[in-house]
Amino acid sequence: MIAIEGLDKRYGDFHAVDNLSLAVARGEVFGFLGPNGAGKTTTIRMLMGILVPTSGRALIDGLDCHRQAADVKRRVGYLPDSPIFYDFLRGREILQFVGEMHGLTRGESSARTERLLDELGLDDAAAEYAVNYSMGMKKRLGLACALIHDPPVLILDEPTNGLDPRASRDVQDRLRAAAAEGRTILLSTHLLDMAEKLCARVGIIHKGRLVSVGPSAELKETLAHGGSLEDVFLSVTQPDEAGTGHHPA
Amino acid sequence: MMLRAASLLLRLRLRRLLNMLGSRFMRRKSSAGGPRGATAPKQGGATLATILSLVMVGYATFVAWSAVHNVRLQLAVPEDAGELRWERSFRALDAPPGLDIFSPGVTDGFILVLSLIAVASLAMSLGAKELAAAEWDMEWLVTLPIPRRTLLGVRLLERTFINPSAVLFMVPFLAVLAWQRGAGWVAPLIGLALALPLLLLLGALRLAVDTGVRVRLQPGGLRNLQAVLAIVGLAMFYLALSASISPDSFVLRWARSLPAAVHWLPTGLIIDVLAARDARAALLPGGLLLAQVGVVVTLIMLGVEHLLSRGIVAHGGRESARSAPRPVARTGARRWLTAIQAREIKLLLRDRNFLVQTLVLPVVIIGAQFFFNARLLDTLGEEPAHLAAMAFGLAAYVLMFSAFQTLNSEGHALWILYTVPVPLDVLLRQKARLWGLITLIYPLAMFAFFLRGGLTGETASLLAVVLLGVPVYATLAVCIGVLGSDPLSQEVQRRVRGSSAYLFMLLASLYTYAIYSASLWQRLTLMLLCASLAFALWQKVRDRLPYLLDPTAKPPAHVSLADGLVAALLFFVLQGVVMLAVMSTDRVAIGPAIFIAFAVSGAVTYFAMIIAFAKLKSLGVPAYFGPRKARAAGIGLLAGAGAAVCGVGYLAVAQRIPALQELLQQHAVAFVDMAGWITPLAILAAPVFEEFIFRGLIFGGLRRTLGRWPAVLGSAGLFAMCHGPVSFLPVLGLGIAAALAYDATGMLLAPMLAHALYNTVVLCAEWILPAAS
Repeated sequence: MIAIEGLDKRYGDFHAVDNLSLAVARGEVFGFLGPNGAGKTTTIRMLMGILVPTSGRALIDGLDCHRQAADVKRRVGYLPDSPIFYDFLRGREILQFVGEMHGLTRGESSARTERLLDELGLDDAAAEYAVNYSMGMKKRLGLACALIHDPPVLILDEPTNGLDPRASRDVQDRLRAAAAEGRTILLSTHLLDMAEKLCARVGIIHKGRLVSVGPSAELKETLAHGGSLEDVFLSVTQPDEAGTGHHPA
Repeated sequence: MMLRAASLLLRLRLRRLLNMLGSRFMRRKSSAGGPRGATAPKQGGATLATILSLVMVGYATFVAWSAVHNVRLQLAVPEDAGELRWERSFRALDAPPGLDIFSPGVTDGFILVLSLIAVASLAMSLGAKELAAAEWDMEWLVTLPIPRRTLLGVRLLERTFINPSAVLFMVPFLAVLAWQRGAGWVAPLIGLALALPLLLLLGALRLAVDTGVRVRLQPGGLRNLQAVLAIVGLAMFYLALSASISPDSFVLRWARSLPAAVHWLPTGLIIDVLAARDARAALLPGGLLLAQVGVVVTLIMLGVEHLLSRGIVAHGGRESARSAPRPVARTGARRWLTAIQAREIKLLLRDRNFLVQTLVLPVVIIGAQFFFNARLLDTLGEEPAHLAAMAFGLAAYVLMFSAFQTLNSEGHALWILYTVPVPLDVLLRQKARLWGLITLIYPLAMFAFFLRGGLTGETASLLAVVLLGVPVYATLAVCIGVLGSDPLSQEVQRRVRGSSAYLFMLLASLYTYAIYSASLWQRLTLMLLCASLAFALWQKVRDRLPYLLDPTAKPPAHVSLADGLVAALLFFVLQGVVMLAVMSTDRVAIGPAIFIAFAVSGAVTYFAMIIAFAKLKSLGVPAYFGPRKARAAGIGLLAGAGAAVCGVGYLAVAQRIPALQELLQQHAVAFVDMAGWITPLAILAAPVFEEFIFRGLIFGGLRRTLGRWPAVLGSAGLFAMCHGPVSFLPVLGLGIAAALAYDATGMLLAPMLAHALYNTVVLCAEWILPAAS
């Protein structure tokens, strides 16, 4: 469903993403792990057509994320790492707006808005201007925006960052439900236990390169000799030497 | 400790001000260097800032001098002196033996101007965005280990001294007055010394509002207050400025009816100090001034301290919508608007600051012109062209505050538009359409208000020119706004380059040529040119948009209408230059000169464009030949034959129209004289070079983003326009035929043959037809 082929992003001499190749199958939940500044958000922004690859390409459902950006977005729901909303628009109005922008009729958009606000526990805050939301509420509203058009693919940048434990659990449950409905999910995080619980496979990116990828159980076995995912993470993302781990085929 | 804190805070504030000034003038588009536009200090920034400050001080001194001059012109001589007043007052200014330049009437004028400057600077400093911003530096400052009273004291000092607009206009004004009083070179110091109490008072008032009132007002109320103050500040500033522009300004007439009590105001006391005959006489107003300022400032400081005693945050940073009623579902208007247009209207109605900035400010700016020039009102009623120009100017201002900001106003929420399956250019077009429609109201209202003679043919045509200009300039505003903005910049106010706003206003002023030009042909030509420019820029913007949030990536170069317009301009300018150069040698006759100018400029244009395209690795560069040449040649000749039949038909009809007949006759005579040179030009050079420009670049550029027929008609229209009014119709026909031939074959060979055939046939007909009749 998501295919990243030799993706490269350079800023001058700086390699933000370095020859990244990755495939996420339909219906799979894939965890994208890595230390801060490893290139997770850059990769996700290239998937969303916000950044343009220096070379290589990213495909979603066989469509090029840069050249066929509009078609890609019909299939993708996106949650940025820190969603910022318009001043003077209520949570409900923003959701309704995003729904209409996705081509839903006003009635449809309104019905889905109410359902999602309810599901994500934003009912009480829906009449408040979204700029006043706490980080957790903003994240949940962003997630609602990503879900409003019922997309087959979800791309989520740190979906539980800034959420309190209960909200974080709610979001994880919601994502599990979305996966059960057959959606493909790519989420970036540095919360290793969440990745372990939620994701069928994880990929660890370090200094722009994918240093290991596979089911977390397998990675623990081969890279940390039965240790935790944290051990795997720490061993493949040593500050000085990049790419000591397994390279993907 | 307290002093240290005070100086630290003051230095911090000053540094911020300098950084702001520096970034305003020194900002460059961040290139491949870093992922974000880093604002590292740049070499030469300080020098430039110094030069600019000097320029500003010089300008302010000039304004102050003019204001003083005008006050005296208006007030030094009694009003009943009538017409003589002007002459006498001029003499009075040069040699004031009998006339006291600080006579009571005149000092009233000075007091009025000084008061206006003071109110304007206070309102403007409060009307800046800071007042209603959600983030407030006090929240951070109170966490420092400094007593609150010290903090407030430092804030007062900071607001006293770091108040650029007040310092910039008040000190020079007082210094000019001191100079006139004979203070000599210490005049600036006296000006500064006299301005200080007033600056302190203004600082205290500002502190009272932006620190004291702020904690007590709801965020919505703060925004309203800020919006009102911004307008009041601008209006006051214009009023003060009008005193320096004309002695006839009615502001100065108001001075005649000021009550004597104004002399008790701080501004009145300052002027009285200056007007005093000697130091002893100055003591009383001076002492009163200090006492007044001291008492008021102390009271304000105590008041603010009291207001802050219950904490510095009384409300949330932003308006809360909880108290507002739930939105009533669906209004009928929604059906006419797209989702983004409906959102824009909603934001406009809720954000009063945005509303005032976009819809009211332009009216104030244009309305101020009436302050400067009282006769303008009558002129507008009598002269429809002035009215049209003014109406278009107003529309351009509205567009600059609205359509120009379409991308910028998305702010940090721009990412939302990147997640929806609608291309950004479509969304911007919808916004541009909305703003264009809203803007149309302004010129319509002006025409309705001022047009006394009713709608005649001329006024209707002027109105049409203005109304047609609005959508064109709405497009231009959006385009220049997008190309001149940096959506990655963290500071929202800094996102649009100031220079691009000037560029837009410059282009808007170009359109007034269309309003003032006498002939319909000129008008249409200019309008078509502006429309082409708007479209060309639109293409550039469309190319740019998918790359907008990526600081390093650039769209691949592609031949577009802009290249065609550049080539056409180069071609025509070069023709003029070469022609001049050739004719100045005196050895070349007009026929060969035309041929040489045409061929040389055509060849230079062609090679310049080809080299530029090669350097930029542009896609879609037109080629003269391609596969299946024979088919292309056939299609070209067929198209040429069709166009030639139309051309001959037009000539035959034109022979019967007396007005055209004479022109055609002249044409034929000139042709016979220069046949040896015109023939190769028409049959060889024109097809080769004009087809490259008009079909290859202009049609090709349009075709990239347009359907076949709009591109055909657009390019043919430009082509015919360049050939003058007499031959507009037949050349339009040729343009259509040639463009269709190019579109069908993809090589320039086809339209070249069509062009050559058409020219051959029409030249023969031009030569034969007059002879036959």
